[in-house]
Amino acid sequence: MAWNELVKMALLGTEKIPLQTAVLPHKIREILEKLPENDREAAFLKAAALTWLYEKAGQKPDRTPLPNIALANAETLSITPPQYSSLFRRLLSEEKLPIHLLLTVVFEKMGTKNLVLPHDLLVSILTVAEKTNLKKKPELLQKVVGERGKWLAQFNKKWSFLTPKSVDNIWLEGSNAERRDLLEALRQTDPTQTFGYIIQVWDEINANERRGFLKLLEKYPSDNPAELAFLERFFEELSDEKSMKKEVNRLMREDVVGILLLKPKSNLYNFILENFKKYVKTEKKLLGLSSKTKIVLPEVYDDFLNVENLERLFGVKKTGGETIPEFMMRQFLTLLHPQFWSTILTNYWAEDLKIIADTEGVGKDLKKNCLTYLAAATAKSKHRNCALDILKTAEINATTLPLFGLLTDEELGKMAFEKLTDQNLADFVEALKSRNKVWSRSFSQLIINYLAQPNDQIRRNADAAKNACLHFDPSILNELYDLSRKEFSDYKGQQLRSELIFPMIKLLEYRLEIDRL
Amino acid sequence: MNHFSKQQVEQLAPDASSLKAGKDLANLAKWVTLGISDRALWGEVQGSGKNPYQTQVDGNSTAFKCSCPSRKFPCKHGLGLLFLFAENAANLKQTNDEPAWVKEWMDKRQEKAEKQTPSVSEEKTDDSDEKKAKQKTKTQDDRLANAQVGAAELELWLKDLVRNGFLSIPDKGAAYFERTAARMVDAKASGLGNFVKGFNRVNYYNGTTWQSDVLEQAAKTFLTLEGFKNLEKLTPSVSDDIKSLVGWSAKQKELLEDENAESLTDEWLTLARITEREDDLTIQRHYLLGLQSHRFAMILDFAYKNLAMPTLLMPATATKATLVFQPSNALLRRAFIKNQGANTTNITTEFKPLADWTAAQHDIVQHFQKFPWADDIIQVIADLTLTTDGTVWFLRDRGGAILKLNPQFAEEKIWQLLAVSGGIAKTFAVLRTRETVLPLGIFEENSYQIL
Repeated sequence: MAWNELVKMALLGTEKIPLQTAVLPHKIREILEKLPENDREAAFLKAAALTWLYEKAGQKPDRTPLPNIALANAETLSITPPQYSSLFRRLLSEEKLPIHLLLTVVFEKMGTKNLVLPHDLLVSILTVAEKTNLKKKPELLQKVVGERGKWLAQFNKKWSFLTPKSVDNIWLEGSNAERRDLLEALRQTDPTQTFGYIIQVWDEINANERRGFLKLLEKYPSDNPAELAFLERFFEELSDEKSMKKEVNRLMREDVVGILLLKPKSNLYNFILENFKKYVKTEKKLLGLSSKTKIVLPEVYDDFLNVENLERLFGVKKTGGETIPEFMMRQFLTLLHPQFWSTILTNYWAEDLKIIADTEGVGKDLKKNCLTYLAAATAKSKHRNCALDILKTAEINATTLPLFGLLTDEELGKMAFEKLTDQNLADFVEALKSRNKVWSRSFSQLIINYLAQPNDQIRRNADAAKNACLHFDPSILNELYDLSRKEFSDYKGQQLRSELIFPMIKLLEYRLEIDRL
Repeated sequence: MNHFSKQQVEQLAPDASSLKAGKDLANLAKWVTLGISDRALWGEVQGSGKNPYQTQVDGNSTAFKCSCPSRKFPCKHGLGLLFLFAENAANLKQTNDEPAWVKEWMDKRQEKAEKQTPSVSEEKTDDSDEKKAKQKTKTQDDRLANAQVGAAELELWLKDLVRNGFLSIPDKGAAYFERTAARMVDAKASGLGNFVKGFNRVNYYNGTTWQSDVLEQAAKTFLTLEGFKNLEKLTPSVSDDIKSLVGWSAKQKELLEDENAESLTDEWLTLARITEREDDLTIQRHYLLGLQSHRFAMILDFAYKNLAMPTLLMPATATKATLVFQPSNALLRRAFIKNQGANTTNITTEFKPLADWTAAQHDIVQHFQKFPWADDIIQVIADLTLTTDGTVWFLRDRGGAILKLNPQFAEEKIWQLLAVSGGIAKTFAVLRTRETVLPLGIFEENSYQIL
């Protein structure tokens, strides 16, 4: 191109390279001949101006060998009527509400009515899905995006969640994160299949990946005998002196111990049970009419109760300030399935804890934290009966809150909530959120009354309330309207109104609107 | 009262923060009063002041008024009110009972619109006319002489650049060009100053393009200087164009009062509103298409920072108006609004779009023939589809010719275009830029959608 030749000349300057008209197109040379120019620089600039226009005017568009994009298929289902579009537009303009939660409800409704999203809103809605947990519901989304949405997803990798890979496909070709997500979801519905996938790759993966999978097995316990046998074998492998010298093996062993001790059928659990039984004594009183159970540890440490054995057993070092009995009891309380204590002690958690606390050699710290340790083991083992017993009388705090999630609706309905405080309320709501149910009107009202307090926790409570918006019974709206009309003279009151009450009103109004669709 | 879409209202926001604040105010709970009549929309919103702010919008010609102290235009309250209307039009009850503060403003506007007939200049004595004409001629002569001195200096400067070569230009720094640009402003040739500033807009970090960009800038500047030297030999309209490029700005008032100025009444569809910032100056361009005349026009406005723009037209809406065109040889000419009437979103036209990219190229040649500096060319082209090679997106005509999309056309807009079209060919309004194309909107049956 003549222009490129002129650019090269311009770089060096006309002093070094005067204009060489031979590089110019014939037409331009003809014009330049009619406009003689003695000035070297003017001649160059004139040629440049003409060539610039000449090439710009003569530019031909490129032709593409690319085929046309295949057209989207026509929708087989009906597109939502206008009131849906109006709702979607308003929801999409909300910046401070968890709209993905409300969209889930609308989509479920659309699914039952066989409706698909209007095309002009697909991009905005898929963008919300991409940035929120909505993307974890591909079946639901696939149903509502229709043919146009599925067609659209092929152009944007971020929307690949609309065309989910098969389980086998993710397992074989997915990234580590995708595999982890897949197993986490699968473990909750099919623990045996999950274990099967893990076993397939166990020998090929590194220690960190193994630890990730062990945590999954611990988080979602299973009674699969093959899984128990595998864990027992792996525990044996790791218990080898040579193996335990490696830090990573020690950590893995600690993980396996954590799982095995939560399984009352495991050898390790039963080994501890058998050895511990000898320390449990029953004293008869009142001529044998009553008895008292207690733990009596030996004055001289024996083969079981000694630092070396316990450290080896748990794979963790005893801390300096702890006595050996304290170390042992803390580990047992935290790690063992709560059934352990009912088997060897009294079958009632409060009494069991009292016996443990009264054990000679157990200090103040352990006495104080017994319940915390037991609640942690109860949550991990998902032992519902023990959870129910603990919650009937124990304080509601960070330790006991997760236990609410283990209860049935009926059991929850009978619970007394007098012990709820400003401090634990948001956590309480969070714990209940995982239940995925709409709460009763009275319970919703109770919770909203607790949350809507002008205290230091407004922001936290507001987040909890908004995130649990699907669980509140929308008929509590009238109470919220009353609260919004209340005179708040101080800043906290006004903050409560703007950050909690108004957003909740809006959320519940949306819920009602969705119900009416 | 016209209906506005949320997307249209977004286009009116002067900046991102106003847009966000406006959206936040699109909440019924935040308005103390709200009302709508067949010509206006109004509301009172509690702000930081003691009394609520009174916000009103002329719904037919999209004018705003608000009692808040904001210097932005429209303010967040005006935007909030329109957003609210866009989203809840069906829920707002129409009334003819406008509050006094709304009625007063609307009546005044109506009265002003009715009075807007071409003003007849007052009779003056021959003496004062002669004196004024003499003074005007002298001023113009002085200015021309000044600008000619500046142009001669610039020509020398440009030739120096070419003689010494461009290799050292990236090392010269912005100040080198700014000094010359400032000299041009002193010589009353600010347009020439803009040509010099153009050298500072070249991306010298792009090792493959800056050399060509500098030569292009030099060539365009030289072309202007040559034209300016030969003003007497040019036709009046070309001469006007050259003077405009050198720095003579159109006097809106004079033009609107000039009975001989070319004017055209039509329903003008706003194809796009494009706003750019250059230092502290905001430059706003409305691109219009006359639905009956099939002529294109551009309304160019400037404002310091976020101050109000004189013209505010709603994109994707047709406005009945009389435009007065600035004298020019260009096909796309700057125009000023003389009379403005009601808006409509019903777009009915027999306008024939260009058939393909080849026809579009012929159209570009016609633009260059008339005005070689043409750099924003608006075209409407039929049967275009989006296509991609996996990394870059193109607009493809029915013959398989392609043009790359301008990077300013955000990815999100590409997805939106695909979602709406489903891959079916559409008629596009586009802005042709160097080697790329910026889609502005698509024509559907009796409507135009902005992108």
